Amino acid sequence: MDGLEERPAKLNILIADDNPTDRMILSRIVQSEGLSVIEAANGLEAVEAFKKHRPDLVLLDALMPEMDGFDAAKHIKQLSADDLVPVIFLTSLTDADSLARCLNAGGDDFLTKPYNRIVLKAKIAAMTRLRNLNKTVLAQRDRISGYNKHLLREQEVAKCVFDNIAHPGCVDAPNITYILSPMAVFNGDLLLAARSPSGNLLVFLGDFTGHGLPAAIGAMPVAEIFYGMSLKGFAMSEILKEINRKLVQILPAGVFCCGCMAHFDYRKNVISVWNGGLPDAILYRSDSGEVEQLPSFNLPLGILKPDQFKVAPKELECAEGDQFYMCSDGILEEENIEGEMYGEQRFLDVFKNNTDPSLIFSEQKSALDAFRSTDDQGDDHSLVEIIFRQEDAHETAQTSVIATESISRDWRFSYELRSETLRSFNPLPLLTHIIREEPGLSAKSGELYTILAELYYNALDHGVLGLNSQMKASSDGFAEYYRLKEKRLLSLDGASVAITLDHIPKDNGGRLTIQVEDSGKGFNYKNIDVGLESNSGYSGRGIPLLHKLCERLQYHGKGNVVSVDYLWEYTNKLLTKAG
Amino acid sequence: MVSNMPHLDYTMLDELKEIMDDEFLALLRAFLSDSDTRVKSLRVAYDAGDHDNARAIAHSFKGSSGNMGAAALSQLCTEIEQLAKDGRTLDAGTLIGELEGEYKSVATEIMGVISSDAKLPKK
Amino acid sequence: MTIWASQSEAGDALTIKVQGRFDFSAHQEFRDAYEKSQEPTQQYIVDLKDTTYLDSSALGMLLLLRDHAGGDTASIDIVNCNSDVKKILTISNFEQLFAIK
Repeated sequence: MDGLEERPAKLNILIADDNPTDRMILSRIVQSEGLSVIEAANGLEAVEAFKKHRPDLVLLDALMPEMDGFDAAKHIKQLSADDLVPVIFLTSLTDADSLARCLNAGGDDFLTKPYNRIVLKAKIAAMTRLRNLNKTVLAQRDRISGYNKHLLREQEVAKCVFDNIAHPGCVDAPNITYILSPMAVFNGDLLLAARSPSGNLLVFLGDFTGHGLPAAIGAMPVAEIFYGMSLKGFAMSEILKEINRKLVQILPAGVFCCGCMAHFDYRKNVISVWNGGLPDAILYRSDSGEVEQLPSFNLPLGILKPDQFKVAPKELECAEGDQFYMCSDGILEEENIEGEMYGEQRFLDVFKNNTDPSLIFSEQKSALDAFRSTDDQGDDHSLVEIIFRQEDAHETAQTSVIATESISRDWRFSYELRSETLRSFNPLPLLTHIIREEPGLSAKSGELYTILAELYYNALDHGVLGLNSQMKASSDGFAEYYRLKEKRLLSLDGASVAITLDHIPKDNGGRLTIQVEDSGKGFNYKNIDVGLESNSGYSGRGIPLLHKLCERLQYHGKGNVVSVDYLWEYTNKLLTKAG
Repeated sequence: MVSNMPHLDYTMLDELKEIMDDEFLALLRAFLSDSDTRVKSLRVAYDAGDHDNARAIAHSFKGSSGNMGAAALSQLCTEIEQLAKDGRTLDAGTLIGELEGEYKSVATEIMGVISSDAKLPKK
Repeated sequence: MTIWASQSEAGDALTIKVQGRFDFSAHQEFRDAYEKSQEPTQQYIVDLKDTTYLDSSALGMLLLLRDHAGGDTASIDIVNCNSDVKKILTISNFEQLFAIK
């Protein structure tokens, strides 16, 4: 035991007795045991000597002038605090009351007069053992508390690293409200939100099994993949596949991440939801008050091997102002005083009883607070609300990028996707990446992503797959549209979409021409005044939007080729910097 | 009963001598000088009817005489302490007289020990 | 929480019973139940008849068992789940990995 190793060579014993002969005898007995002695003739002297010499053991006469042994013992016990300094009362008192008084004053044992040398030796030895045991316990306590402090410091550092990775997120956007413990990452909970280059919103709520460092370690790559890929315009399914692949690779079997990811497409008015192991996500229709539950249909992330992991998000039409909710199971498993769980029904009742949609989140919070047994803010429960409302869409994507030089290059890039690739590959991240390599265009990648996405999906959906955009007008048609798309993609054969990017430098900027040619049968564009900002049957093709963003939009051939010009200039600020 | 007891327990005294070694004589002398004071101040407390002081002195003297092997003296102290504790110090007159006598005998014996011990050559 | 393991007569099937709360505290015992089995086990049965509660670390332990039993080729039945336990297994879609009966 450590306590014994720390034992000093010579224990110090304080002897307080007003009677000089008793004191002499005791001192002598104690000294003969190889211990050193400090003498005091009354209680006051004893307390002073204690302060000065910090003895290891105190022998106190009960009745002394100035200050008696009882008061001296109380003072000494107070002074020694955590440190156990045994006090043995020396007494010729024999009645039970007096002995009890000794114990109440903090005494650890008695020694009755006349002294018996053997008994005294045995008692000193017993008290020394007690003291050493206490020292060991204290040392262990201090070590444990030291470890704990160390662990907390490490967690703070790790949290700081995590925050740096998760920093570019937009979880604090005005349309996102959440409860999440500040150290949630160490409880395995994780909330991520990012805007894609097109201004759409992607949100992920994750809940790792386990606590502490293992959970936090998993959270880091998830955050990095999520932010890295969403910024480049990767689709939700691709991000989920990558996260799953990474987690399977790094996490030991038995550790995984329950999670729910939602993509908010503000132009199509669609929410896509993928739920793998979290409680039902909720879509609240603010106009009708209707509640749609989106249960988990998938295994959590980090379990299935990449080739087994399929992503089929649920697509839901929605309207501005609809509210979307995700929560971790900690919420539903919160217990009250009787040990009863909060449960899904109470959670759903809040929606049912609500009269003002803007209050749902705070009502959820107060319902939970009212239910739970303690005042402790539960650490491992997270709830997030996202209102379907576009907020400063392009801001995040653009402000972070600043061109360092005003150059403009002359280049052309052609890329053709054939059937197999069309089925499974999304070319937009790659194209966005190439465009961002042009310094002046990097700041415009949001707009350009939108243009490319419009052109590409027109070519794929309407050109190659022959889908009619008007189908999406009705709710049934909407689902049917995606079902048909899935089906036709599977049977695709001999199809292609070719994309050409052509960039020419101009004064203080440049012109990017994007041409998209599909293998479809085209359409009769001659009768359409493409310049009209109308919805004349082609609304689904986003033509008005393209007109707004591009200098020129032109159909060619049989209608299966479309090209747009995008003109750009360095802003004044950049010009000054360059000049 | 007190009168039947020996003034000093020599077995205990031998043990003390062993414990105290070269400080044995100093102990005996300290006992005598301390006890002279106590016996006198006990008489003063009795005359003043001071229960508290009488009790404290008797208690302390009880302890030291017990440790010296003066059992009869210690027993007298116990009885006086009890009376003082009960507020009957004035009833202790006879006991105090006995105590003074007993102490005189104890002191004589101790002085005998001192003089015989002092003559022995040091080890 | 108590865990019993019993081998079938033929020795090729191992039944593991979990009584009470199936959570992190069961970690070592659950692991011992299948790792200490000497017989070449083909079939595992996890009997949750007396299991009152199951948390996500229990799900992790089931995945570890699956890994031990051969991953994708593992044959593991989870039987006698009460409705609360079944709900937790369903939310995580564990029926894709285990035969839940």
